[in-house]
Amino acid sequence: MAGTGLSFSAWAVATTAGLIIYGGTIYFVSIAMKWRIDHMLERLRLGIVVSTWRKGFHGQVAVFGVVLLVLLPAEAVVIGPNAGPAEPHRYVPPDKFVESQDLAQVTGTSTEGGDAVDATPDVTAQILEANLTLQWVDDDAREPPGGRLGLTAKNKPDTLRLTVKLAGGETTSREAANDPTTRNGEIKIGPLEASQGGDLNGWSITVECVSAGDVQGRLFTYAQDTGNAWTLYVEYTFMVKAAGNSTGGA
Amino acid sequence: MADEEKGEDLWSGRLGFLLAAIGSAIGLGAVWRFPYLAYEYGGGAFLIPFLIALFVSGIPLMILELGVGKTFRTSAPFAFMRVNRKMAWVGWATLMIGFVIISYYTVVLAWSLVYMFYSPSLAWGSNPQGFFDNEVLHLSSGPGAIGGISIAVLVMVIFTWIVIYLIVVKGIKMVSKVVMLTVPAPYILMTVLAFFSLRLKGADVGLEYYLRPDFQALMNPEVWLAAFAMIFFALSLSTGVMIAYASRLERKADVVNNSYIVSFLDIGYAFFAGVVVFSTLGYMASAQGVGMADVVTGGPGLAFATYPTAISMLPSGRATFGVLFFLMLFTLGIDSAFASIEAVALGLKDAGLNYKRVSLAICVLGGGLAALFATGGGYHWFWIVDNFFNEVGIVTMGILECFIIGYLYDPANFVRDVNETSELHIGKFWIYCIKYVTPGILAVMLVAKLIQTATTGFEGYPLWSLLAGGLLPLIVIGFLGVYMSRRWPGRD
Repeated sequence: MAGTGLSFSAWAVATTAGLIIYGGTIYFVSIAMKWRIDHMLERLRLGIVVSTWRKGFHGQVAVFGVVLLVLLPAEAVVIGPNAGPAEPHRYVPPDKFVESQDLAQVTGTSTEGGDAVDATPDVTAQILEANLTLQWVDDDAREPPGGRLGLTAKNKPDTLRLTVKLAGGETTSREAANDPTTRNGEIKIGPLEASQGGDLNGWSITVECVSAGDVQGRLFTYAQDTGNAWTLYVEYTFMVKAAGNSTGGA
Repeated sequence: MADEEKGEDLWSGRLGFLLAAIGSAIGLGAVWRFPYLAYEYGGGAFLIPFLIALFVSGIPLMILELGVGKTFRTSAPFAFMRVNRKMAWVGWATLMIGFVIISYYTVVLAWSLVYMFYSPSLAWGSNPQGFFDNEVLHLSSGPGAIGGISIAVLVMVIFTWIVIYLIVVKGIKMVSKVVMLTVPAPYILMTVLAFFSLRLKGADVGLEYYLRPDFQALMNPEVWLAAFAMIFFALSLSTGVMIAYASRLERKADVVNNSYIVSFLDIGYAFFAGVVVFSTLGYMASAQGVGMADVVTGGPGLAFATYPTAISMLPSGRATFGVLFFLMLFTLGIDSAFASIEAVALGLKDAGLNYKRVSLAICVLGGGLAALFATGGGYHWFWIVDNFFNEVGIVTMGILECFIIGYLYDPANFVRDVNETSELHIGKFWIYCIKYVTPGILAVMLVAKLIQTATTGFEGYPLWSLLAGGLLPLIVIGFLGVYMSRRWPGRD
């Protein structure tokens, strides 16, 4: 096994549990199979162990206890007091991985009253955090037939909704209308940390058109706005293997 | 019923019985429940309450079940009937609860088979959770919406039930042969997986989280309750299986040492499974550069979302690792499944019904129920039913079993009968455990569960679904048990 190794306390648990569970299993199987453990010990010329073992259940428990008392200090000496990961709460090997950033871009079109459009980018990196920015430009006011009243026509703002469902089920949703003058719309969500919901693999990002303001003249609606095209930018931070390091092998 | 009447039903040897009992006891919980609980509740320190629970509750109850089967030589309903006529319903209810649990358990086995075929192509892509939710589960918005169904899962559900039928219909003799393969198989597969996973970088970090003891956790009563619950569920107690299997033992068969062997092999597997699971998760965390808390999970989420992610990230041997892991899950669960169905069939056979017809009827009914659980809405019902049937139904049956033998039967007489043919002996300590410790702890578990459900509900599911999927079916099963005990009063 590679890495920093286990601490003494972890080894002690593994040894003790292993001895009780697997030693116990062998002990009970040996009774069923009528194996004579004391005879085996006799062959190893362990006189005092044999006589203790033959004293019955308590003697046999004592033998197990002595084996543990010999094994554990020996492990403590071999393993050393400072072995194992020092901080068992968050393990990020700084010498092997470095933070990096990238930008993913998804484009799509959402229609008024239509289904939410999946905007989850195809990112395979395991991210630490992400910032989402949804941008769109509302259509220009279209001239009505004949153009007589077109001078006063305005395309009312579109309202879009950006929803992010994290892997843990936590959902964040924001909606906004575009600026009626510049026609530019923007929604920002983030930063969203991976610890809030795992990695991007389990996220679901959708865009909906809540309402598409129609082209409205002074008296009439000239044209129906059906929705809008948009672009979603996902700026994400992820851990990348530092050059010259291996992530391990089977 | 005289031995010679059902001579063809007896186990051909001790090994066949032991393997069948071990296969029944070891289930998916060993892989996806025990390691997670150990991580949550103090790492290596969790083993202290776990082993104490094994000795004061798990093994005594295992001895009780094997002893009841061997002493009364019949399945749970008729064994309890011999103690007290009014208690036969407990046996029927136990078998029915086990049957319902297996009906959704087989859906998990079907997922395992489907994923085994998905593994070579890593079909879950970069979004295993989304793949599981959308392509496998066709998850609906809630228990009120039936949702879709994956044809692949449906086919595997049917396949699983055909396998169960073909094993069960041939009776104990067939079970003895099948378990020679299905019980060692997960041990062997787990050993191969350990060979893979322990060599991965970061494996030691995962193991550190699994094993490093946090002794302060032992001051938390919740940890102790979780340990007792884990032992109770890990040994598949109070499902009627052990009683049914032991009823087909020879008169001179051992009870106490068999109980120790089954229990120790069961927890030995769970402990070993933790090593494999946590070494893989440790690799996954270090490869992603995240903490273990971000990757550790339990339940189906571990097997069908986290593990596929880990498989995709392996530097080599992904397909092999995936196929072996999901094959291991299937072999791990299939013997628990056919054991429970066998127990129901043997119960009805002891009632005088035709065994082959009964086996077919149970498998058809079980397959139909499983198909419902395999739908997108069925997954929600899966959780609701699992929560109530396991933590309310089975726990209640466990308390009643202890009450029947501890108070309605003479426990000293029971101890004498068991000791007569056993290699190891039990005494006052066992009686104390069965009369006070085990039912007391099970009662605390039950009350805690009911209070928790009454105050906080369950996973945000609406009240009507908790009543329809949990409490109501359990009450119906109780009444059905009473009806069946009157319908088949048995022979003294």
